[in-house]
Amino acid sequence: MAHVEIIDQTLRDGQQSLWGMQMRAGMALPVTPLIDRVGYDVVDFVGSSMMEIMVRNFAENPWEGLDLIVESMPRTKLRAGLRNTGIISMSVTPECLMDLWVTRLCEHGVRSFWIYDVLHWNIDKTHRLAGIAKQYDAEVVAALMYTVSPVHTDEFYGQKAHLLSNSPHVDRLIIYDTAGVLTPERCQTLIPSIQAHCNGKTLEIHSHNVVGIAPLTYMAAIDLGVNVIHTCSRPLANGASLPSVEMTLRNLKLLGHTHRLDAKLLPTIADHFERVGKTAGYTLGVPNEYDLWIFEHQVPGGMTGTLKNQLAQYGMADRLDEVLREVAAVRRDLGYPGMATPFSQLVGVLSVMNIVNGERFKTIPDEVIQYACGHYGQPVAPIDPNILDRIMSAPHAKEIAAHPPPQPSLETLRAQFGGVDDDELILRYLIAQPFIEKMHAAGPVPRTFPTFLDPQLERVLDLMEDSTARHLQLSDAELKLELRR
Amino acid sequence: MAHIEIIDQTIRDGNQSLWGMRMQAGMALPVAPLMDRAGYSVVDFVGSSMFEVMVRHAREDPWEGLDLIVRALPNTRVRAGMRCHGIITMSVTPNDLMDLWVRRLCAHGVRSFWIHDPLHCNLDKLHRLAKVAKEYDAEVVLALMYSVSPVHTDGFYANAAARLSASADVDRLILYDMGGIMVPERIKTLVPAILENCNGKPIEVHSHNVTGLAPLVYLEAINQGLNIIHTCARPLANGSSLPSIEMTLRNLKLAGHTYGIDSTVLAPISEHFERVARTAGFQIGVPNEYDLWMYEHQVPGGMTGTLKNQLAQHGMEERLDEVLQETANVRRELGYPAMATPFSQLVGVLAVMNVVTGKRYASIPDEVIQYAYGWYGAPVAPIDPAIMDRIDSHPRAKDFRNSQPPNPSLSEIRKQYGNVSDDELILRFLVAEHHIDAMRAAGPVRRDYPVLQDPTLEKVRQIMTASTAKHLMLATEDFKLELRR
Repeated sequence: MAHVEIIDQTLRDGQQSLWGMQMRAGMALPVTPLIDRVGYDVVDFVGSSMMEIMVRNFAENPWEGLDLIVESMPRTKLRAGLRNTGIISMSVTPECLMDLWVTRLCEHGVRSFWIYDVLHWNIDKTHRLAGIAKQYDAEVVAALMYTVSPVHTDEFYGQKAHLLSNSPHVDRLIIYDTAGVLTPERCQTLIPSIQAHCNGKTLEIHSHNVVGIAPLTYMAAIDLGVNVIHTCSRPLANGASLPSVEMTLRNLKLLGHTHRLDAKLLPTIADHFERVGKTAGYTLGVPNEYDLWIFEHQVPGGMTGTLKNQLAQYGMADRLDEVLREVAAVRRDLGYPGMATPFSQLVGVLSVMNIVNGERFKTIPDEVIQYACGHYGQPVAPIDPNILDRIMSAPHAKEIAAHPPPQPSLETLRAQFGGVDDDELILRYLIAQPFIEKMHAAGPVPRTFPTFLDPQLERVLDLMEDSTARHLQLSDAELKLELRR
Repeated sequence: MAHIEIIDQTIRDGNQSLWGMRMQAGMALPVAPLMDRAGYSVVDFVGSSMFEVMVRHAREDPWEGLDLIVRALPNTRVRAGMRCHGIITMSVTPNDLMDLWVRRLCAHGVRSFWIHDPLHCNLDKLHRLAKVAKEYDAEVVLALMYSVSPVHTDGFYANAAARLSASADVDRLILYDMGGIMVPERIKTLVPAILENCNGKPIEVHSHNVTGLAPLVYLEAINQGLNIIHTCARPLANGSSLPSIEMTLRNLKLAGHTYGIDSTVLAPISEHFERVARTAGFQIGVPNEYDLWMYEHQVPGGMTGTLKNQLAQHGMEERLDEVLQETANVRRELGYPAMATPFSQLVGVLAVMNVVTGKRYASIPDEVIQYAYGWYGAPVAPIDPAIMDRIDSHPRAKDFRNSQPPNPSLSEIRKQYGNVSDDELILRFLVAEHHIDAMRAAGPVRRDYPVLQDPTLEKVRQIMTASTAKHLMLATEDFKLELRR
């Protein structure tokens, strides 16, 4: 019988997995005071990609959005997540800017960080960033990115747990299962191996419910002594996302575990997000049927959608299964990088190109060359020698090899971006200036998002979105309906 | 690596679990020729409750519907299922009428039967019905009804398997998990115990995907040597129903198993049933999130809906969890009957009454008294002595103690119902005469079911159904919508 701590992922990974990170601050603000009172230890919220999307798609200032969310949740630690080598999807960010990012987030009130590196290589970078967070007394959680491969053994994770936890700045480790492929059976050996090497630090577990077994994985982890789990409010749970808090609490209770959440608040929160999702036309999470295929390709749920869109651009939407198979092959060829940013994207782009070109490794993105040159750190397993030859004989290869990612000083960067404040500097680093100008012109961040409460209006909205007819008339004894464009 | 035989449950258990048995023959007939070509060894279709529902609600002659379906499936065995002691919910049917039911089904072209007794004790009845089916060379499958209790051990099922399979008229056994509470770990001990005692007969496995684990149960059952599984077309799969054929084939293939299904016909079949569901307003199956509570109360998915409705009549919907807890208590006190007809209903009714009246066993239905006095056979475990006292002191006890259910001969029954055909006799036994008259007046069974193909039309239909406003106008730049009553 354990006391279980719960971390809310509704506003971060739930919306990343199901809403493509398109949750605007005003969609959350009406219920964040409630979320604050639920009793979550941490609410995850910030990531650099989310900031990019807020500016680009909604002309919404993400710093202002962050301030509003922080203000509305005085009782709960707010978390931000970052890759230790970069804040832009596929590239390496100068270290001083990474440090500035953490500093500014702390200044805006973030009090918890999870930091990852898919290669588990750049431990020094993780510890440096942890040190900065600690200047603000923020919590630091270093991630063990779970993936299945011949090199990702229990010993591998045990050793990485030792290295990551071996800093006074690291408070916790998190077992992070992006693709939902961690099984209860594997927990039996994996978790003890991590526990034996984690310097007594607390472990969190985060498993996407892609094949429906994450709730069982959580139960197994709790039995093994892991007491911190991640969930989402029901409309943003399941499918590509995490288990729902509603069902998780029920299962915990039946097993005799305790928690400190106030379950009474959960339906109001879930109802709100369901209305937002329906009004905005976003996906509401439903569980998936068990699917062995996921274990084969290990593509995170959100990424399958991206691959589909990329294929559709080439009129090859029907070849998704082939691409997924190619993903597994490319991943093996590249030395089994874990399937998270930036490698999920790199492996995905390469797989799509291989299928579209009808020839493997004909087109090689620069970032793959950088990876092969060790600019992201050392691959966990050697790259296949033939593929490595192929990569290093690409036209840009020599040039890229000769130019490791630059490490300009903050002064140089400041000079480059003009005399702007640090928050603006970060935005300009992330996004092209016209988007930022448009954002400033758009005015303050909306505090709410109008939703349709009336189910009838909701249906009308669906109809207006879907209909392609120019004129439609329908009537029966008591109702007449007319549609016109 | 096994070769897997697949039995289709779309139009029987899928329909029963998700559509409340409201599937009319015309809803299936347009795709029945495709289902016939899919390569299923058996298509399950008939049950006496479905007959009742067709007459009462659809005003449709189920014998005529059966003939149409049998004719549309010339290459596939059509299956019927029955409880060995009754064809009407909750009561005991005369033996002669049970035999007549099997004979008439055979005469109408049914070529496979699954027959169950939740107590696993009425061997004489099971084997007698098997013999009748064998007069027509039909396949006979006897059921091991899976249940979790201190008495339902591997040894219990091994013993039942030995006794059920002992007759030469029995071709197969089926491991039948109506509550979806089987788990892969239990399969590892249960299946070998059954296989050792089933006289070499093939074993089918049928597991509802209530908590999302049925696909894992199937894969483990196959590892343990079973190779006949039950599935449904996707819109009628999952949730309270069985795994989908689509995902099952994918998983089988990835696990290296083979099958004789032509998967090219599956998409049009599923699309058809999805359109039917949308048009008729029937549920489309989606997987459930893992829920430990299901293992506690073991109430089959369909029955939860019934309990909810019963509670709603008393304005006590919010007490569902209490009722489910009470079903677990009542089931234990009544000697752990398996939660299938008639016991799921008996236990459910008692549990609702216990909660609603606030006094346990204040009223006791006749059928519970009959059960206690062995009308359905011997309980698998003794009834709780305190409860047995309550039953013994009930005013109706003397009517059932030391007596047997009435067992009139066929000629006596024929006298009672007048000079009608055997098919009509069965209908009159099942359904009140005025329903049969209304059915006759409704004319022949429809061969199809008009579905709305255009998504716009479908949404319009939804609006027309849901709208209560007298007049509604909505307009945007390129769109105008008007609703009038």
